[in-house]
Amino acid sequence: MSALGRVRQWNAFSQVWHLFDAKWQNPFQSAAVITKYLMGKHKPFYHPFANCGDVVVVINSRHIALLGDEWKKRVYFHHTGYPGGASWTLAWELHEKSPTMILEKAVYSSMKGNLQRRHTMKRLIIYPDDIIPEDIHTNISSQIKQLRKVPKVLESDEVNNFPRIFKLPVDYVPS
Amino acid sequence: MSFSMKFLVKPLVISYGNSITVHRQIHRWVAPTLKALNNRKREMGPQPINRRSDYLEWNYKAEIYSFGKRLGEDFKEDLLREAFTEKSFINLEAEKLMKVGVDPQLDMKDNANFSVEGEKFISQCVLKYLVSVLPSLPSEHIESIHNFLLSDEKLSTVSKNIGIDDLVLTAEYPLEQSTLSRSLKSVIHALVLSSGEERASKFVTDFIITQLCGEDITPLCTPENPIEKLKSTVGANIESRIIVESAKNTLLANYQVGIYQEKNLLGRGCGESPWIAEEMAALDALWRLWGITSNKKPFPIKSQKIVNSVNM
Repeated sequence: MSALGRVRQWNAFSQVWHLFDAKWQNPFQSAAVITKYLMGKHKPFYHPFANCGDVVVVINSRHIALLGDEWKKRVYFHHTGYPGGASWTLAWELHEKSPTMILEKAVYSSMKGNLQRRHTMKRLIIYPDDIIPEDIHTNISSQIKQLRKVPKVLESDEVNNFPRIFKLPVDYVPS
Repeated sequence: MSFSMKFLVKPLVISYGNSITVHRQIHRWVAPTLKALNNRKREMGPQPINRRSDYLEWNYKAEIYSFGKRLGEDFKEDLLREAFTEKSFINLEAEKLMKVGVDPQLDMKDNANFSVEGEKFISQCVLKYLVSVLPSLPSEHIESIHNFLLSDEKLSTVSKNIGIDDLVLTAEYPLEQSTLSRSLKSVIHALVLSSGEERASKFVTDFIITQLCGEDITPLCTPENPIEKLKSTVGANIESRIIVESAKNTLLANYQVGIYQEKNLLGRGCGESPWIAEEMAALDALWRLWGITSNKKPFPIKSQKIVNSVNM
């Protein structure tokens, strides 16, 4: 193989590290997008036998948003294997115990169940907040677009610092 | 061993019992016979490969005539005979005559002269062609592409593919690469003498220069120190910058480096370290200057205005 062919191959199969901000994102819709990058399906030469998947670093998994009353209604089932070992955990309970698990399970179940799935999952790194270790941070060179805009909230700097002519006292009651 | 299947298979038997059954079997003697034949073949060991001329119905004169006709060329027969005769064959014939006590006064000529002349002619044609299609490539790289085309490996492939290997008169068999390439050179010189240089140069274009098609010529045009070479070509004020980097802390780190001169991108390269990428970028810049990028159009073979003077 010529020198040019060698580096061209290296460049084509290089692993790109993507960043995904999960703040206010639906984890189940995000999982489909993240899976695409993990498996390398966004590349024109994708093949299931080729090791062409990328790495995805997810931040802010603590701040995911579930639709409607999903936090109360969605149930995660686990069985220890012993008689009477079944347990049902609500989504909000699970999220309190581990703020990364809902997203991880969403990505895991969005992939087909085959031998490759657990290896593909190793390329997914999830952090509950926006703090990333330095050695991981230097690898990142790309960002995946968020599925929906982060909405503005009432208690924010933008509202508090908005210019106003006068400020009403807190105990003001209009007569 | 080849048997027609119909002799090995029993005739079709259809018996009507409770249900219709069809028997079609291979005879009982077939398997043991094949095994015995195979064992005998193995015991005999590797047999010498017969040349085509060892068989009974070999007519050398007709073969030589049809060789030219297959290629669409008119060779003079005696020239072609001389081109195909090797020194080793003449020696062998002389030895045979000596053994039976005859004075070996053979009036055969070997192709040593022809091959030297032929090589000169091919070399001239190839250089003319390369200089005209790659005008900006430095002469040392023209030289290396020329040497690649005239290597024994390439010439023997061409020689074998146009059927020279059956026609060469030589002592050794199977033929060596050097013999095959020498014969091809001699055949081309015979063509020069038979039909003229213009016709022969077309032959060289059709059969030898076409070996460049689909060939990656960048390894042949790689200088020892590309960055120094680029500096000496375009000036020392070049600047290399990392354009893209990914997965820096891992084994699969990848860098892309661009080489700029006065804010113009000269070339870009990639690699597992910035230094390799920089070297590849320098090579890319050089290849762009020389007109041999990987997206280059194929070499023109048909409509080629070959310059008549070689400025080497």
